[in-house]
Amino acid sequence: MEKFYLEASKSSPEVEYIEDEDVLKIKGESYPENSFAFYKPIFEFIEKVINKKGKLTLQAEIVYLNTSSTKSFMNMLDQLEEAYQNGNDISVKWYYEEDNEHSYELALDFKDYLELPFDITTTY
Amino acid sequence: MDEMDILKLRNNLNKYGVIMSFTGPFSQGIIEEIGSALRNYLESKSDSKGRIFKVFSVFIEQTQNIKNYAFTLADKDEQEDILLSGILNIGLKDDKYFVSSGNLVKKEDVAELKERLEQISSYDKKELAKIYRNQLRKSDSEEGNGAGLGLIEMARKASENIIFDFENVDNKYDFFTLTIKL
Repeated sequence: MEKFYLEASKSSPEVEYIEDEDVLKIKGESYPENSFAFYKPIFEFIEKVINKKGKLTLQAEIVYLNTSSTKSFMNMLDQLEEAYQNGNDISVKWYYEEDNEHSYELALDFKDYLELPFDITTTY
Repeated sequence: MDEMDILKLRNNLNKYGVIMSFTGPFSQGIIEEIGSALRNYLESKSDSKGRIFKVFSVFIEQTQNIKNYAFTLADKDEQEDILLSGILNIGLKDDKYFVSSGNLVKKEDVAELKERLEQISSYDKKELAKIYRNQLRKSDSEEGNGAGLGLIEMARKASENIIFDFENVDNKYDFFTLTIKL
């Protein structure tokens, strides 16, 4: 049984691993004081869970990322892309609220160079 | 000046369309609180999420840049000089929001920053998007405070050219100002 949960704060998203669905959900907004420190345990968890199960969907319900979180997110997506290229079952599902261009543009910036399955969906 | 004329200060802020103003050391807590107040204000004006996050994003990058710059300096006195010099104004003028910040910059750091800003302001939106994506893909510094990315991000969000200036303060510092209109 693998568990990972971080409660949302004003400047950091909720992060939850849903093992039954092989989903890592990151929900909310991210502009913490030190994004590198915030994302480090998430990278480590992703590595562990992919090594163990070979399967992961990143479900990103992103409202806002500052640029240093964007950089951290990019590193996380690089990590997922590498796992995908190595034959693991990896995908990204990105959700954004209809009028939130910020989130939509982020998704396009990320998706631009990735080969792994990357769905962008608008909510309501 | 014996006593500070608060009303005059307030009237000056009004004249420029300033809605919110802060001066002093930016901490993460202060950035979060002002950010919340800013978002509440923008939501009350029923702006679209797109516009709200444009303004919010520029606010976050400007304030975190000041704070991050201060903490790159090893000298505690210099850190404090930079932090205490921080000023931020958010306002509305001619139907456009502006986010305007200022802080001391060490003279030896001015040339590089100025060159980057000049370069960024010479690009159009398409070029900015391309440069942003290239910069994003570079797997560099662990710290990733992403100041490079921050300036490009602000220029991408801006609806007009970014406005910046460096003014001589003393033999150690210049005062750097940056205004983004949205």
